[in-house]
Amino acid sequence: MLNRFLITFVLLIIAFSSGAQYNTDFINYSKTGNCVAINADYEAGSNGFQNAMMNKLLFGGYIDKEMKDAALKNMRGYNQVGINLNYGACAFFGKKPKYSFMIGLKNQEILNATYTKDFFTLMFYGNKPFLDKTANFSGTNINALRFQELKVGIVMHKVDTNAKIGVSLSFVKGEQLFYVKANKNSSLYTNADGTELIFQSNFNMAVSDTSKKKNFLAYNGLGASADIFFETPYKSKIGKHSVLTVNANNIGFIHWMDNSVQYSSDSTLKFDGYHINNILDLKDSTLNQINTDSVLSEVTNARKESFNTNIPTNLLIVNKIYFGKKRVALNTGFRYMFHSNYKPYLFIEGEYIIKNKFTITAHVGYGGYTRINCGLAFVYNGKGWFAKIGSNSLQGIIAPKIAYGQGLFISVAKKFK
Amino acid sequence: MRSHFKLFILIAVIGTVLLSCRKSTETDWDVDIQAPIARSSLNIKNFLNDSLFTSGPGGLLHLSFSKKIAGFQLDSLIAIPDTVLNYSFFLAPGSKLFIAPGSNIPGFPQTQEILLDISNGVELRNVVINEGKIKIDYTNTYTQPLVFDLTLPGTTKYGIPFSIKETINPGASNSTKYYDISGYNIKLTGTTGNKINALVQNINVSVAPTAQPDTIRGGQGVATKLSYTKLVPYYVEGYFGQQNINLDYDSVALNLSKNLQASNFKINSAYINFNIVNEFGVDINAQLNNINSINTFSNNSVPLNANGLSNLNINRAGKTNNFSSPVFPSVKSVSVNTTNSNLKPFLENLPDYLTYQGKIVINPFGNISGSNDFAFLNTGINIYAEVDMPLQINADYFRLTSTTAIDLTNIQQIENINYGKLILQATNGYPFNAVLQGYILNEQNQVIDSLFTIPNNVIQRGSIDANYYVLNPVYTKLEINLDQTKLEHLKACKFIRFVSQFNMPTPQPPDIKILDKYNLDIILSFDINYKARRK
Repeated sequence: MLNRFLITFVLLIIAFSSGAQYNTDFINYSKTGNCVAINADYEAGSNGFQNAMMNKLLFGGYIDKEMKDAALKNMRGYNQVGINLNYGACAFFGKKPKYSFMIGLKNQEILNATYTKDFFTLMFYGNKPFLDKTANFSGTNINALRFQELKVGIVMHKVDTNAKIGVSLSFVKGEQLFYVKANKNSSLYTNADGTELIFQSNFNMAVSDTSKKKNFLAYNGLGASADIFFETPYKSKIGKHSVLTVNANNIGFIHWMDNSVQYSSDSTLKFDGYHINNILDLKDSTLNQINTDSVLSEVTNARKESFNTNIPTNLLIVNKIYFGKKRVALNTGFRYMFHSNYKPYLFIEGEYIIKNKFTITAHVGYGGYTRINCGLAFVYNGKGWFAKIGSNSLQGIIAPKIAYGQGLFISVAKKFK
Repeated sequence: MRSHFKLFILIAVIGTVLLSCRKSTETDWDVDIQAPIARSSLNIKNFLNDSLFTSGPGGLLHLSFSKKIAGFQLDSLIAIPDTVLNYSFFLAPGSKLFIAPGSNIPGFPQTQEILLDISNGVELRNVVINEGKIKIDYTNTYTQPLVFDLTLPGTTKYGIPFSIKETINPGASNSTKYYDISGYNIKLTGTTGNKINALVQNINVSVAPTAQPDTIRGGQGVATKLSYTKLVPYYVEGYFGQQNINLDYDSVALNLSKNLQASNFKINSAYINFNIVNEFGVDINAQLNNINSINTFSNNSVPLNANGLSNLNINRAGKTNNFSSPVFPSVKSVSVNTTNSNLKPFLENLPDYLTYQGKIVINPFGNISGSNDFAFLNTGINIYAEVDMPLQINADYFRLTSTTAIDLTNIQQIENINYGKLILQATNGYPFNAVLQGYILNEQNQVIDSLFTIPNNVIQRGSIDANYYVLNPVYTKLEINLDQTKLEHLKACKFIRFVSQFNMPTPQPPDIKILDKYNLDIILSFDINYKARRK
């Protein structure tokens, strides 16, 4: 298995390619011009557990001990996991020579977390490994967000002759939020024979209105966001010429409505069993005391109120250098997502352009929610149509038992004449 | 441009539908969980009823309680019946009579002694009413308003006689009004002051002073129906007669434990004090018989053979002049113990019920108080059994059986248990072993499985000295294996019948003393492999 992974990895490194997608509607504009396009972008990964386990978590199935052990073997003290799924449609239109307008609809689902090794162990092995030990949760947080946006924007494509600037503003409809953060000293102690649990409960939690159904129509928050795009060619010392692209999107917030709930707790909870006068008189009423809702309300300070959350903001910087007859290009890039447990992501890509219509891109990167990433992308850029399919995380698909992460992006655009 | 827009809409709709149709998935994995369920520090008191025990000298536990076994209150002694009186004046047909406004109707005023028909030879001189009403139905066929006056000169409150003055409008027919007489002190000694059960009342009917002068014609007149109704006395005084009040054959639950069994149970000593408490100001004679110890579990009955319960004279109570506690009760105690009766077998039967029968004779010696018997509301004659049994005992074993509703059929978490065990950790400070078993019963109350596996169901006794005193508690760990069969049975569990048997040491030692400091500490926990699910 390791050999197969290495071979694949080397092949990918030497492959040729073109730019991948990073949850931005503007990045293909230089190739499509005015068009109507659908885009889907999916990435999931963790630097704590391998892709085989991620597949089980996402698509169902049984997580066996081998999978858990493999994850635990290389797990660090703190680990990240993230899942981003975005899909939507947009259109660039207008007959002005210097700028075009843009409208779009997009659905975004974001889940990211930082978790301690102990948290993972407790979740997937139970508390038995912690007999007479303390499982540390400090710093663990989970942030899950789903929202939809309606975009309007403009792209100026002849700024200073060839530079492009794109700006869009979005009205954001918040559908669902779940946020929890375990603060300092959050932990669970289990005594040696499992007859006493001590939970150091120091956490904050926020949940959008749970009384409403979870679907596209659920309207639990509203907000606004902006996307900014800048692309300029320039002369570089290396290669024929270069293009610098800077994109920032999801700069905004969501205001969650009054029925949203915030919990906070900072207390020590000791549970050593329900104390009863007569063990022979154990009744339903005793068992019914074990009620999660009542326990949560007893140990936390719960309050219904409105509040704001930032949307994870995506920053992308790519520098492209063309070589020779512009059939080969080298991209180096940096990506970061604010408010999202994302680690700085550095990547390098090679592009090879065939007959000005087809582009193959190979991608290698490190960081983000996973560790090493490698991917491939294929672009067709014809007269009337533009299409792109690829992945920046093929390693998890090829070698799921040892590699981390997976991803897929698709774009199809019909160009306007 | 229009065709592009249509394409955009089409693609957007198809894309949204396709991407929204993701299947819901379920992921599962196995976790090992070890956690507590319940704990308890059990004293033998908890097995029966905590309030039934006291601690004696040397910490010896006593089964000690007082239970009211019979009694009655004032309403069984004296009841004032409703009394109904009719008054009327109607002019003879064909005749006429002019009565000036303000003048009395012929035949009035009337002063009467109303004799209250009180049964059982009770002769009352004085009554304070706790609650009660006078109900009057008025009828006036005269053309002018009439005035009805009622005065009870011997019925006073703060020294003021009860009095009503009601104007009855023409045309009133059986118009009903109620007048509250609660709190009034009624002298029942008549107009002469030396009678009994005789209430004095004055009635007058007159034409209203504001009436128009008119003539009463034939058939016209006035009628009233006066009722003394639902009179509940707070205090009665007089002679209560020579009454026999039967205490019919009945039983009283002792609430020890309906499910306690014992084999060859022997006690060392015990006593029952039968206390007859007389709160009435009247002498009584009490007769108790047919006292039986009933064990409904073993269906065994032992009659009590004791002297001194068949003819008990109890003096009258005294007054305290304290409103909140108005009497000094008179108490007669009869002690029945293991030497003057068969109390040993009586109590060794471990009764959960006592039966009794008896009779109370009021004023057995006649009216020796000079008609000064008295009684207050909420007082009575009560018979209490005060039981004391030191737990210095001997037996082959005790067995406690209890069936409790534990419905596990709706607890879905059991579905997710792959395997595991329930762990019962016991630290036994008693000088006897405890053998535990729990039987799983289904909806039809049928035993489908048992929790413990024999012989791994014995909690070892504490370490003891030569006198069977416990020196140190002893720790025992019992495990209930949760295999698939047992889990399936637990999923069908509606009730669990717990059977706890406490085996005395063999060979039989002398009486074992159960001390208050003895405890059985129990911790119930689980150690399971559990299927966690993410839906």
